[in-house]
Amino acid sequence: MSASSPATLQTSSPSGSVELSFATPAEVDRSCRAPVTLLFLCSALWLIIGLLMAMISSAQMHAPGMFANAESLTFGRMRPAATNALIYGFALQAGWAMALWMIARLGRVPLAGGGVIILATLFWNFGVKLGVAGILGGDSTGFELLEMPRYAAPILFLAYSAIGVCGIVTLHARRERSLYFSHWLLFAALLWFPWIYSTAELLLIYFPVRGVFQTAINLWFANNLIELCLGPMGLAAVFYFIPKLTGRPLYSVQVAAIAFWTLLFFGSLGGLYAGLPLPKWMTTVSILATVLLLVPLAAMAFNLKQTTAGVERGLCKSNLPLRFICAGTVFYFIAELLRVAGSLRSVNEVTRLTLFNPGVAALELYGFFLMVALGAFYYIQPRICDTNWASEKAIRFHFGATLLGVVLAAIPLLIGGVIQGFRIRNPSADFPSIARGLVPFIGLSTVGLTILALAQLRFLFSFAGLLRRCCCGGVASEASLKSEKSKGGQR
Amino acid sequence: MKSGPLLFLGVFATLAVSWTSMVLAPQLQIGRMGPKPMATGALYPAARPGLAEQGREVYRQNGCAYCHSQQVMQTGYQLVQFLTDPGTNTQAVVEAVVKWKSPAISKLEAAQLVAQAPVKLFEGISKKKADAVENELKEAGAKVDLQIIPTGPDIQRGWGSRQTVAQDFLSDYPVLTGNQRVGPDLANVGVRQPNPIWQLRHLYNPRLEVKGSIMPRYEFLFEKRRLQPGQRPSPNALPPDTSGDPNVEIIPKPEALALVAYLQSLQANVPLFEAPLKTAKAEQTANGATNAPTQAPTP
Repeated sequence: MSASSPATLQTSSPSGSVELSFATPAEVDRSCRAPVTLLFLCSALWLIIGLLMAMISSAQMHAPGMFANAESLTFGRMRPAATNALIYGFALQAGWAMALWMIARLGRVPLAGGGVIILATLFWNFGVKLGVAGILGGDSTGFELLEMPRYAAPILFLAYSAIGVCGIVTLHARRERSLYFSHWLLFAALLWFPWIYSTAELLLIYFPVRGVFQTAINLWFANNLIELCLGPMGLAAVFYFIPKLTGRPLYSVQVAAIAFWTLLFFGSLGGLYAGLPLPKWMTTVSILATVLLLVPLAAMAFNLKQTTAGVERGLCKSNLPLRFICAGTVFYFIAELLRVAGSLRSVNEVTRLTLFNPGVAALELYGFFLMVALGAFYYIQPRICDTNWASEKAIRFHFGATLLGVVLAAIPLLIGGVIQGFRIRNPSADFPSIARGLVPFIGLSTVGLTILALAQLRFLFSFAGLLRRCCCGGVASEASLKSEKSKGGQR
Repeated sequence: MKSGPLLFLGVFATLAVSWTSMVLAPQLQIGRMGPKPMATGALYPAARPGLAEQGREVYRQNGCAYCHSQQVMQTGYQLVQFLTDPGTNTQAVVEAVVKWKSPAISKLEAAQLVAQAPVKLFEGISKKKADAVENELKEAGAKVDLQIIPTGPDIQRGWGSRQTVAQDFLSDYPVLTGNQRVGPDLANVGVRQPNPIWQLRHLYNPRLEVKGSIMPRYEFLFEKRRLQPGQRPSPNALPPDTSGDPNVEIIPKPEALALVAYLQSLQANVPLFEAPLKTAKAEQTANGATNAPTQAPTP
């Protein structure tokens, strides 16, 4: 158990029975430099593009005359373009960047296939560009989170395959044989994506099934993409960095195993809700599985609590990557509990088909995933570039602005959605006035998205500065952020 | 845990369970559904007419489903018993009505009620009581009819006469059930708003038809044409007040006409076995409306 936690590796010295000597953290970081930096950079650019489009599409809901003459900028195209840019452009690429680095670090082995990953990343970004342009041009497939047209899908699939294979090969070649909890999560995420993506593409786009079964597959895909691709990648970072940065080993591997298998099992069956025109057993199984997500949630919360017991509060403030990760973890539990609550029949009768669900999705994407990815990024990027962040103040500002943006973008949607749900249930309430009642909430959410977008724009400048120093060998003014770097034996 | 292959097998098995139960099993159950004959003999759902099929493409392209759902939910149902024909033995019918009616009514009131036939006798009665009443009234020579009225907020709001079921979507690709109700549900918009001119004007500028609507304008589906002095307006142009300028006429492009044809074809109100509106007997006499409108809109 002790050997499988990133916090305790300093004490576990390499034993003679291992054929290959462990790669040092510096070696691992060097092997990750080009591919992981490229993945992070592309994901940061898509994050800004996606946020700007999300902001415009949100504004279009309270300014219905906006771009009335521009076909490709109309709300119904802008919205899916934003979602796809954020999920496929930002989230998946950021997730893979973290995943590849963590797999290599935890396995104490250099990342395999750096050149292949670079090519595949370029190819993937070409696919996303094509897909987003296709959506704006009117080629959307009409399936949620799969809107990118059929000509973009094979490019994405092939590009991913190369990246996924490099990740699995690195995992297989690991020199530290024990598999840590984060390894399991990353492995599941890497395996899950090609399976669900090919199933959904084949059954919805290439050989479409009949009727409302399309909706069932679409919801199955969307749920699995969020819960079992993005979710585990974010959680892997949580369970990697929290023990590492607090210096405590993971409390219990057994509890982690329970959490892992129940998360996979129950998480993969959710996504359908009561009232869909589908066979009753499907929605019932789905609701039950979503409620049972409480088991892995409780197990993970317990494990984290025990792991960090006795850690002083101040650490979360002083250690900036940890600060992002902690905020992301809190948002994860809030979002998942809301998701569980929203699946219950009695709650769902109110919240179904309202803004409540985009609110939960915003908490998951911005609150959990973005926060965790930023934390991981602030830790990983200076190490693989072998340089420092120029300004700690900029990071603190970035954290504050992102937190404010998340809260403003998500909470009004949750509240507005519940109000909308209750009013729709009252048949005497006139519908246009219900819709108008949403405007203040959507307006606040637009403000939140604007703050988020501006904060990330500022962040992009810090990133560019770091890259410039990395390439041109400049020296940063504050070196405080890289203090843990030199500890030997860390993975 | 040290073993990579064990991890692989475990993850793979979990994936397989999810795939089998949520993809394979439903395919075996509902994947081979086909159109079913209605009481009238016609198949439901019929394919939408060509123009409406094109309209569904416009609906998909412009993401209408991001604000409009097409799924009516039903939370329960109510049985309503009608007296359709009192027959000749009115005396016995009146007695039976007096016997069952609660709160109790006098013979005179019952006689008045029976004289109004066809008339609603009981609302929200149990199936058992309905059967007993039916037997007794039949013996007296009267004809009765039992109807199933779906209930629920969506139905009371007028978004449909019954819940939406899998059968309704069989002729569609892609199926656009939607996941938001920022705008109203459109499962039955063809029943609710049959006027194509209203639909076109609403697409051009929703605020012309619905005060305070927050729907975006779809101006790009229309052609704006300035009339030269003495030029006659196009026969296809929308009513002159649409543009707000008497010299500018608004002509719907083919996409707009197709979209409206699709909206008008949205009529998921046919009684089905799994979503009945009437009992089997009553259905024989009902005229089956189809999913497809018989004519395209001609503005």
